[in-house]
Amino acid sequence: MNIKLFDSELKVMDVLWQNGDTTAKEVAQILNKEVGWSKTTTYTVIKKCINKGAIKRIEPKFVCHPFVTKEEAQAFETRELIEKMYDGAEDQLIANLLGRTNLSKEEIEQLKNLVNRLGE
Amino acid sequence: MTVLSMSLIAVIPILLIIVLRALALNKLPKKLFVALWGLVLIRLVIPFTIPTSLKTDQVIRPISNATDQANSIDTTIRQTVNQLTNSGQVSEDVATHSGFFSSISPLFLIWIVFFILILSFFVGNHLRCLRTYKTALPVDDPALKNWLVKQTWFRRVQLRQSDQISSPLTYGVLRPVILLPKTMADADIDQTRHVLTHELTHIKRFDLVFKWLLIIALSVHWFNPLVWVMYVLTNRDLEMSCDETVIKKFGNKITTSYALTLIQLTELNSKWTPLHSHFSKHAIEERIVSIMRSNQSSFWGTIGAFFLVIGSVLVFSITPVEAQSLNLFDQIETAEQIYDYDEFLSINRPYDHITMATSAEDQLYIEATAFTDHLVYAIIGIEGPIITDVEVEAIAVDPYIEKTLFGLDGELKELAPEGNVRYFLYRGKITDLDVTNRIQRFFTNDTDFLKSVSLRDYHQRLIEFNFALNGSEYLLTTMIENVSGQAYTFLLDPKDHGEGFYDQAILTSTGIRFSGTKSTFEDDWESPDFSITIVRMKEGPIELDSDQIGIISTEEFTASHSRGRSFQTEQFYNDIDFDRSKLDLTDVEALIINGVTYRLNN
Repeated sequence: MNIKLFDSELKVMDVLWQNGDTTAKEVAQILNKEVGWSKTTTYTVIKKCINKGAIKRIEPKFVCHPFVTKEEAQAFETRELIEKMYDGAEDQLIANLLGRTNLSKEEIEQLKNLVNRLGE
Repeated sequence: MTVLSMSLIAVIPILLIIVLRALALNKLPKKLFVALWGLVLIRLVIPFTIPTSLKTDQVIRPISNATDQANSIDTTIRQTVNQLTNSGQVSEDVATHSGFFSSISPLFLIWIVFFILILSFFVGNHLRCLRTYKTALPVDDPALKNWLVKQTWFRRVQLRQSDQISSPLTYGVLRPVILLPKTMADADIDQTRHVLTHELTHIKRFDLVFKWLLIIALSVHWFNPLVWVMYVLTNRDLEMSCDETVIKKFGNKITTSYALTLIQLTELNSKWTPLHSHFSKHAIEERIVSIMRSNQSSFWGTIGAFFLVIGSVLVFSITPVEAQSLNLFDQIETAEQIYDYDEFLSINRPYDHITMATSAEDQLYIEATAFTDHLVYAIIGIEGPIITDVEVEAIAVDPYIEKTLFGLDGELKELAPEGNVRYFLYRGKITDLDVTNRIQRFFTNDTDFLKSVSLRDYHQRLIEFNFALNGSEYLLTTMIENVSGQAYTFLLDPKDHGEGFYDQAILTSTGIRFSGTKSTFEDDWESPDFSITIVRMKEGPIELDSDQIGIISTEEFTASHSRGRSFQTEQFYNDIDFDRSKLDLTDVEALIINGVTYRLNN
């Protein structure tokens, strides 16, 4: 599931990833303490997440269930970063991280495979 | 002041500021321009006049002309409407003045539609943006937060970051929040401090309030293109003024780095949000140039500009004011004093039971009344304890057809008590009960309403006073009679041996009413033509001739005609209304109606 989540939405997802399924009310309380959001604001963000398919709403009591795992969201962020910074060349990113600028053809192939696997 | 005249008056100042800006933007402190715009803004939003007895001189004349022109546009429209509804009206039952119930002008409707549209656009946009802003996350940098706390005094400013904005902004008047875009997370500390100082300056100067006032002015004056120009330019000047402050605080050495910061931030600019510090390409260029040239503002330039501001304040604030009239309300301090005015007013002492109201604790009665064309005066005595404040509402009613005629806009003032009776003076001015009409009249400065209605036409109708005190309500009623003011009664000249049809003619500054009882009038009722000559002592006579269409008169005197009959008094009357002309009553010697002379009753 490739959906872009804003920081505010990731924050809500964080709460769910840490605590598992939680009621919207509790999420609002936690976030009020952590970042100072009003109840309305939290609910607005939750609704956005639901629209994007990141959260699933379970009745009764408006329980929020994360429909995206943390890894999936992270993979998406990485993908986006690569696209933005390296014009989609994943191998360059890895090379950069490894501090190397010249890679042999095989090494590049290996990296590409690795990245493809991660991206799935 | 009407909206139209307020708008026209602002045209010249706005043009002046635009020219000044084009010539000397970078040589003068930006704060000056903000101050000048502020003055114009006040003029646009608040309708006030500073009373002055200055004669019109070169400077003031163009402004008063603007007001006159605006007024004459209004009155021409109004007159046309009136004329379409007035000519040749015949009213049977109740004495009404023509033009009392005028329709709501379509111009006013268009204005209010656009006003609401534009205002809602801005408000809606703001609320939408606010929802995004509220999802911002706190900033973790403790050094930054410390620095921020040191900068602000009584209002705590919150610092937050959001990945959904592309350049820094600030919102919230009472609890201000500075939002930094996420892209600034890696900026160096100096850059961030510059940006924060800019936003803090906005906060300290309450620029958000300024911006809202601009929006209100824009909504009210949407039809004036110069106000739109002012809106755009003022917003830019507000930004540049804050830039100026940043450079003043950190010194000229940072100009390059600050300019670069701004350029970096605009690389990612997105949607148009009018309420916070966002900017378009042209505006950015202006800002960059102004920052890079910031050390050019000269000392003499500032001095000159200071005097310009003083001069502008005078020019923008003075508008010609109308002459004050005799103010009875302020001058009467005791109940007895009203009788001092019996030269000017007929004072009535009503004795009907309806002028009294009693309860277990209190007794209220109307001691005296006096009426002029538009004002009702009453002296009310109250016996008994008064624990709460006294409040009163008054209306005029027609008891025969059980209808409320109009409202009264009144004030109550306590006079000196006598014995155990407390006295109050009431003064009420005729006002339209229909709120829509009243709003419309405010915006079109309609003074013709008062010209077209007079208490004189409501002879023997009732004024009802609703008093509230000590938790109870009391109803006092009195009859409208002896309406005074400048009015002269002309009676048949005895030399004519009572051959005229009309018994009398009453002349006021706004018209003539000539009336007669049934027996003398009936023949004349059949033929609607008449001719009147107003004979004057110093000036020449004024001829008014009526025919099928309307009244033909000499140029200075346009008039309209209506007639009717009163069932109670069996009087037939003809009303001639002078539309806009005024007559000097002291100059009138006699009236000749259809060849019969009527002389002043002395």
